[in-house]
Order: sequence, then C-alpha cells, then structure tokens
Amino acid sequence: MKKFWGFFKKEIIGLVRDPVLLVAVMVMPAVQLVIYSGAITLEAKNLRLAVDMAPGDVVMEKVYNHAIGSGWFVRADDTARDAVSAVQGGVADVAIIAPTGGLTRNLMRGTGEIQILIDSMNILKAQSIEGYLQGVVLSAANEMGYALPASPIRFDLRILFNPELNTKWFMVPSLIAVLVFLSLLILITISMTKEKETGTIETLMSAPVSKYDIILGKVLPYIVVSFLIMLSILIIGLVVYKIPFVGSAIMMVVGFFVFCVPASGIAILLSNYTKTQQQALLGVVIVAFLSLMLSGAIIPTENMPQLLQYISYINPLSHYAYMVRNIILKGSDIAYFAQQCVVMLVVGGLIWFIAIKKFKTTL
Amino acid sequence: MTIFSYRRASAIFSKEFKHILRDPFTLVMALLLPLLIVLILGNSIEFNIRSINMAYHDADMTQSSRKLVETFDSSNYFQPYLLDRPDDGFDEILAERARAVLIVPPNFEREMMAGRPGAVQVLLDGADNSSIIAITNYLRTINTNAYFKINDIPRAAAPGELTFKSRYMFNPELNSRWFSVPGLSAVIIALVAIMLTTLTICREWERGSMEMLLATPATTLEIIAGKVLPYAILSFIGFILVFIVARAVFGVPFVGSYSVLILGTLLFILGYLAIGLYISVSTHKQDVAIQFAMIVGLLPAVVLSGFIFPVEYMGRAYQIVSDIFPARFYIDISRDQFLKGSSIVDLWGKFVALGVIAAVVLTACLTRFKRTLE
Repeated sequence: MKKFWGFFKKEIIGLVRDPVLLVAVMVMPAVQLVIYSGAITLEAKNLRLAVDMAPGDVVMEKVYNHAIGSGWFVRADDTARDAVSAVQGGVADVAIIAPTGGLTRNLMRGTGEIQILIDSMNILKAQSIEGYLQGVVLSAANEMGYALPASPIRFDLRILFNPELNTKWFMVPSLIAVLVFLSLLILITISMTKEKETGTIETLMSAPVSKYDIILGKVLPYIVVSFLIMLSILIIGLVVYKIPFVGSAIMMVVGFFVFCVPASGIAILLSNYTKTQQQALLGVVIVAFLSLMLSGAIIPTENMPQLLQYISYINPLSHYAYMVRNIILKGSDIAYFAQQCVVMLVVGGLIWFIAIKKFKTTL
Repeated sequence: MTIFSYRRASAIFSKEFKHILRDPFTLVMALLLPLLIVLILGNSIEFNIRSINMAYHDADMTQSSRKLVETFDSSNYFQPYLLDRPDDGFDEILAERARAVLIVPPNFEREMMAGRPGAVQVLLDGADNSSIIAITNYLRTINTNAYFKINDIPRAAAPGELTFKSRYMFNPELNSRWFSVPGLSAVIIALVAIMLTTLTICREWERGSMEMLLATPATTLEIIAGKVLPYAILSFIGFILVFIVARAVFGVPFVGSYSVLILGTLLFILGYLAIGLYISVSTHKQDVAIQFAMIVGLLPAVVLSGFIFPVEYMGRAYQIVSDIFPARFYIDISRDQFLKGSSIVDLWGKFVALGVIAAVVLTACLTRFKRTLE
C-alpha cells in the first residue's frame, strides 16, 4: 500500500509540475464541451430557397413568403437562370417550382402540384428539407382555404424527456461520456508509454514493487483527474446550458467508476503494444474514433451490419454514453443501470485479464 | 548560401523516411488506419433508420387499428411489439427498450368511420438525438399511408388539393454511403497528417536532436520541408486508398475531375501538416502536443467540418471557428467532385480558403521556428 502511494504521489506531482499540460488536461475538455455542444445541431437554418413562378401566381407567392417567414429558409441569390440551375450550380439548397400555367390556375382547375428540387449531397439536410417545406406549404394552403393532403389520423405527439428537442440536452450527456473516455485513454496510455520511451520504466521494474503496484499507481491518479474533469463539465452543462439533472447523483458517481474499469483496461492493454508516444497516440486515436462512431452517441447503431452491432454491444463507451443520458435526462431506471454496469464490468474484467497477462515486467 | 537547397532538404527527407520505414508500427498504422476507418465507418454510417423499436398498445382491437399497426410494421421503419398496459409505455422508453410508443384509444375505428380524425397517442424518446428527426419525418408518411389503407382507397389527390413531388439531385436515393465516404477521406487525412507530424518534430526537440539538425548548414525551410514531406506522401497514399475503397467497395460515383480533387487534397494535406507543425514548434513536448493534436485534429474534423452536422445550421460564432480549419472546405470539394462535378471556377472560393490557411499557418511556423532559436 505504501509503495502504491509513492507511485500515486509521483504521478500527481509530475502532472502538477507541468502547468501547460495541466491546463491542457483540465481546461480543454470544458472548452470542447462548450464548442461542440453549440456546434452540433440538426435544426435547420439558413437553407437557401429558390423559386420558379410566373408573376401574379398568388398562391405560389404565398407559399414562398411563408417559407422565408418560417426562419428555416433564406432567399437564394437570383443570379441563376431558373430554379433548377440554381440548385445545380450550388446557389440554392432547394427550389420550389410551380406547375406550368401557375399554381393558382391549376388549383382552380383541379389539383395543384408543387415540385420540390432538393440538393441531396448532404442527406441529413435533404431529409429535413422536405419535412420543413411540407409544413410551410400546408400552413400557407390552410390560410388560403385550400384542401390539404389527407391526414385524418391525428397523431398526438408527446416527446418525452426533451420536449423542445433542445440539441444541447442531447449532446451534453453524450459529450460527457466521450470526453471522460478520451481523457482516461490518453492520459494513461501516454503516461505509461512515456516511461518506456524515456527509459525510466527500467528503473520502475528494477525497484522492489510488483506489476500491480506499477499499474495501479499509473491508473488511479488519472481516474481521479478524469473524475474532476467529469465534474467540471457536468457543472458547466447544468449551470450554463440549464440541463435538467433528473437522475441520481450516486448513480452518476458509481457509473463513472464502473466505466473506469473497462476504459483504463483498454488504456493499459494498448500501452502494452506501444513503445513510443507517437505509436500510443495513433493507437488512442483509432480506439477513440472507432468507439465514438460505434457508440450510438452520434450515429444510430440500429442499422449497422450485424458484426458491427455486436461490437457496439461490447463497446464500453456505448454503454456509458447511454447510461449517462439515461441518468441525466430520464432519471435512471435502476434495472437498466444495473444491467449496463454488469456489461461494463464483464467487458472490463476481460480486458484487464488480457492486459495484465500481456504486461511485461521483464525487459 | 542559397535559401533553399534541394540536396540538403532531400538529405533530411531520406533520414526521416528511413525513420518511418524502421518503425513498422507507425507505418502500418498510418496506412491501415485509413482503410480500417473507411471500411468500418462506411458500413456503419446509416442515417436512414430502420427497425426502430416501437411498443404499441391497441385498446380498440378493430380492423382499422390493426391496419394502422400494420402500416407501421410494413414501412420497415418501425418494429412494433405489443404492450399489455398503456401505462407501461413510459417505462419502455425509460429503460431504453423502445424509442417510440403508439397507443390506440378504444374508439379509434368509430371516430374514423364517422369521418372525424381518429386520434392516437405517440410517445417519442426525446433524449435520443440520433433518431428523433428521422422518426418525426417517418410519422408524416405513415399517417397518409395508414389513412388510405384503413379506408381502402387508392392514393389520388382530391380536387382542389395541394400536393408536392420531391426530387433529390446528386444523391437521388439518399444513399448514406455517398454522403459519408467522401467526407470520411477528409477526416482520415486530417488525423494522419496532424498526428504524425506533430509528434515527430516534438520528439526531435525532446531528445535534443533538433539542436543538432539546426547546427547543420540546413536552413529552417529545408528542415521543415525535409521533415514534413514524408508525411505528406503517407497522407496522400492514405487518400488514394480511401478513394479506391470508396469507388470499388462502396460504389460511390465519381463524376468530377481527378485533377481538381487531387489539387484540393494536396492543399488540404499541406494545411493540416502546417497546423501539426505549428503545434509541435510551439509546444516542444510530446505529451502536451498530443492534447492539442486531439483537440485541433480529431474533434473539429469530425464535428465542425460538416462531415455529419451541417455547418450552415450552426451559430455565427461556430461558423467562424469552423472557417479556421481546412476540413470544412475540403469536405465540400470532395463531396462536390464525387457527386456533382463542378469546375474549379465554381469552387474557387474554397480553394483560395485552403491556400490561405496553409500559407498563414506555414508562415507562422517559420517565424516561430526562428524565434525559438534566438
């Protein structure tokens, strides 16, 4: 125990002595949280809308003005010849085209069909554009007394846990999980590899301590640091973004330490194979990037091929991200929490088993 | 003494190249990383969500209500499963078993037959950002389809009715691969370029071998060129690998011009190498450089670049931040060349931006480098 404390103190002193590193480690996650939670939004804005209509087409004009007034669309530069070439030439994201003879006349004679032309190079934008435009056209048509496409089933929508679909509420819990994972992974792997690169690992190994002392002495200080990081970004989320924390604080803390088991295990496992910090960084980036993408925090996992879905089942970050979201926004279902903890511990145990087996105490 | 000697620069270049070749781990990673990421992510990024778990409770138990559930099921967007009690809906979402809950009230058919809108309740999981927008879009389609199915009428517009027809240009089937893979190449190059350069230069400083290099007659420019070029080549090989995978494995069309795409790629690589160089020149230490490399390399390339989240939707301040990183402009160029094929004249603004960023950062590196010496 005493030996372990020696290591613990050495690591902490090493970290505190280097102010640039300390700032990078402690402050950067908070900066990242602020930047990314603000940057990530799927609510449409500034979509450039072009229109093709004859003068005097009252209904079409109404539709167009409604669209601009909705705040989702802005007028596209009318430098292009017509709406089609505006989309083609990248001047507009979307164009609405009145039927030949004008929408007003068509409606008087029977039905009126508006053509919508959408630039779908960005499919996320394209998907939402159609929905927004339909809403706009419906409200315009409604106001002028035209019939709407049949939708006589009324869906009483109730969006639970985030009724206004505030993107920050979505993102902050996921970002907490991601940033905690990143700091644990980087700090432990790099600190371990640095000893190897500078050769000080030899001194450690020749000292009368077991490999468990070395590993714990390397892991625990950074768990403490990561805990502080989690606290600071959680506080920013709650205070700055006013995210409601409806769950239990105890679960949040327990969940963090449970997640540290697989996360630090991955870091130790990784550092077994790296000799230089450059290798360690490449390893960290691969693990972090793939864990992030296969976690469901950014991209839904439901439709991935079966093999990748299995990976996402054992991906600790996936379980932790869902857990944090569940605790903060939904108020933690205890059975769900327990289940996630068990999965993380089992996966973590397995990783640690391999990591310790591979850990060399000899040169 | 000449300002730039090709012979001296190439000596440093070949030294650096031998370093890379001698370190198989880095070499394999630098080449395998792009392949691995593009293969895994190309397969996994799918924005057209299917099989969303949906719990339903049918208190009506009529033909109409069954047809409604059937419409959900046959759309393939939803995977309905039966819920015994309507009050359990909330718990299903709380325990992450369902993303949506449909509750059909007892008098649903009676209302429909009477010509009144039949009301059903839909609960959605608002905590899940990845699916909620798609789900609300699907509901609109399902609503209309269910109406026609229940009333057994073919779909045709009623007189005096406004309808729309949408056409998607450049990616008519909204194929997720066509969208994600051209953007991925930008993310991958950014990662490889910034990670590799940052640390090599820092290592020279840490070990003191940079002082030896500086003591040689080689000028700053020669040292930088010699050290950075091998990594530019590695990054470019990474780009070629990703391009081949995009075309051969994922069948992404390429309608643009190779020279435009390659020019953009080279400018982009130059920009990111310069940023990596700047980090290493200003930190001199690997562990600090790693933190900065992650911050300016990984996350902006993923989040602020428009790779997934449209930059146009972001606030003004965020758009300015995203303008600093080359990734945004390169992703636009790459997507355009794959799917649309604009000429370089149409894209000149993006090329100028890439060039300006690279030039500014490189100049900053050179001055910073000199100052460190004095």
